[in-house]
Amino acid sequence: MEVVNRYLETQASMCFSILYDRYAGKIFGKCLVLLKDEALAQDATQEIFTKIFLNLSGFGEKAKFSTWVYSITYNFCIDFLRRRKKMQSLFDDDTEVERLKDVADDVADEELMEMETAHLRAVLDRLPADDRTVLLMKYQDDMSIKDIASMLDKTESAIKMKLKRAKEKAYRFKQEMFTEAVL
Amino acid sequence: MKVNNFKTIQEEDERYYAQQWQEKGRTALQNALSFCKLLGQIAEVYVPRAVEVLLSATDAGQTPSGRYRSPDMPDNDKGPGGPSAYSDGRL
Repeated sequence: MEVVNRYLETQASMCFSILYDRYAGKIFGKCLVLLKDEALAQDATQEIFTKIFLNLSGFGEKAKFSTWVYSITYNFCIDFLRRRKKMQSLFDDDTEVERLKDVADDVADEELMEMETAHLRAVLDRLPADDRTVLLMKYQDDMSIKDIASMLDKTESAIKMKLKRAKEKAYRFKQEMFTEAVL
Repeated sequence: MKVNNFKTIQEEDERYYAQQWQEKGRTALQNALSFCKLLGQIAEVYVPRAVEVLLSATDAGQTPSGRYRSPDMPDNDKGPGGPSAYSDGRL
């Protein structure tokens, strides 16, 4: 926060560099998982950073700076994907019939968090973008259900349900893609 | 310590970004921000002047009350000696 204030006062390039070094890689990582294209992720990172620096004076200190940065990142990626019409029903309660009946209980967080990184990448790659988004918010950024709900403009119960379904889908994909191959 | 491979993925991507894109990205971003700053400065200096110029230009053709009239300028309603016969309605 001190760096942000100093940048606003002095526009010092050192403060710019500190903020850039701290967040650019994280933003790029999220864009890469959400947009699934390295060049697009790179362009998105630049645009998001431009937005961040141009709106820095509007940061209200109500939330953590990182939460504010990530909310800009997620909103940018969601808007981008919507514009490309790849996910018109993003975060809408879809009527898609989901094959979740074989998942008896809730999937434990550890099942996802302890998945091998290569497997986790493959599973995330296969998930719809809205499911990827909530999983990243929850497990990568440690955001609370309340924060996710307010960021996506949804109710907390809708987010809980979305998260539950996303976890179940991820678990099912993991089983389909990796467990069966071993057997 | 609890294993969380979502964070491991993020760390891997951060390392990859640092190797491949960081410097290029920083330079491009600094250029973009300098350009925005320049545009802002231009707007700051020239927009108020442009508004003033526009206002003075519109003022010039406005109401008679606001218009400058030289004392030597003849009054259309009056002849050299007072109101004309036409304006009095006598002719």
